[in-house]
Amino acid sequence: MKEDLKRINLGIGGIFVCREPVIVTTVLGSCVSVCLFDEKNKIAGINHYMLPKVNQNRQGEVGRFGQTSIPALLAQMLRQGAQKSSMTAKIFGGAKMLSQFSSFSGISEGNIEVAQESMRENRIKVVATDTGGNRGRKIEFNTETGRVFVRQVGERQSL
Amino acid sequence: MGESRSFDSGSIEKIQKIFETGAQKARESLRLMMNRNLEINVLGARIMPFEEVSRFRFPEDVPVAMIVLRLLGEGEGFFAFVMFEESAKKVNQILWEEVPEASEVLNISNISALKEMGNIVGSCFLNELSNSSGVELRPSEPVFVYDLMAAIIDTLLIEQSFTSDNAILLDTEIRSPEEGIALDIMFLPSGQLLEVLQGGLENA
Repeated sequence: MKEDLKRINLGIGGIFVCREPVIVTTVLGSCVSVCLFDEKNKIAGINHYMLPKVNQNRQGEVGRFGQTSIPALLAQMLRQGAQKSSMTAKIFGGAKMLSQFSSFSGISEGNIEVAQESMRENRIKVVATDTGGNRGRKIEFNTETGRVFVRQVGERQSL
Repeated sequence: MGESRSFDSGSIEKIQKIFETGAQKARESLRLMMNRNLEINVLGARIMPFEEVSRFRFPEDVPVAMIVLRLLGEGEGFFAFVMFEESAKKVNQILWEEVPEASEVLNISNISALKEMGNIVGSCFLNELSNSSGVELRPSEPVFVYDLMAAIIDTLLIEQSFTSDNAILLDTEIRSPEEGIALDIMFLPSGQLLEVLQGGLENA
């Protein structure tokens, strides 16, 4: 990975699509990021959502829910000229952190499922996943190559 | 952000004052526990977007040690004690009167001591909040987690995100510069808890 590429940090609820070579970084706990890459048209996109589905009582930001964030990411990719047929996907996150507080675990799984389901529906091939577990991840997405580096707190540090 | 607009600034100021009283009690409890006078400062209440909470005071991609207490009772939320590993070791050096090697990781005893500290300090704040508002609140068993700051925070904010676009953070610091101790306490109430507290404080 080129170290001299511009680095962009993607926060919770963020959606980022570009044609330029940059490194997009984000840190995930129970949240999920879908990285889409159209190698043919050299267009890359990534999101970072928190919950699988929109709460019926409120809409909130589009980027916060997988149900709305993934279609928005896909739409932005297509607007930039990407094609579903040449896109691949990588899915990250959805850790069951703080599993002692049990209400969280279903959300992590739901976040992963909504990503997989959406890729199936859109016939986008998922070429890599690193999901679940009980530790957070920092990911670095190179929009030039589509490669993603994942870092977790090591065993020594994870206690 | 629905609930934070309806939650008036007067109530936030009241909670801050309650926390200042809680801080005095926590300071005394820590003095007895650690035989040290630690500074505990309530820095204020902030309303901020979720993504800013995870990089508030600590870099988001750096591992931190965190003791988390879930609030139980009439409302939900979290108390989180955040520190770098070095501070966690310093606290243990004082509590156990032994100096671990720099390379030594936190062991079960160390983690247990940190949990106990979190429990004691958290209870001081929560008791004060309950007594002043009439809202029943109690802490869960403390949970220790060591991971990337933003990864922990995004999990803690899930419940808030059901009802809000922003987080409400009451920020408190525990410091002992001469001992090299620096902890931050984050109080992250849910929108529902804020509403209940506001009602309780109005009637108090």
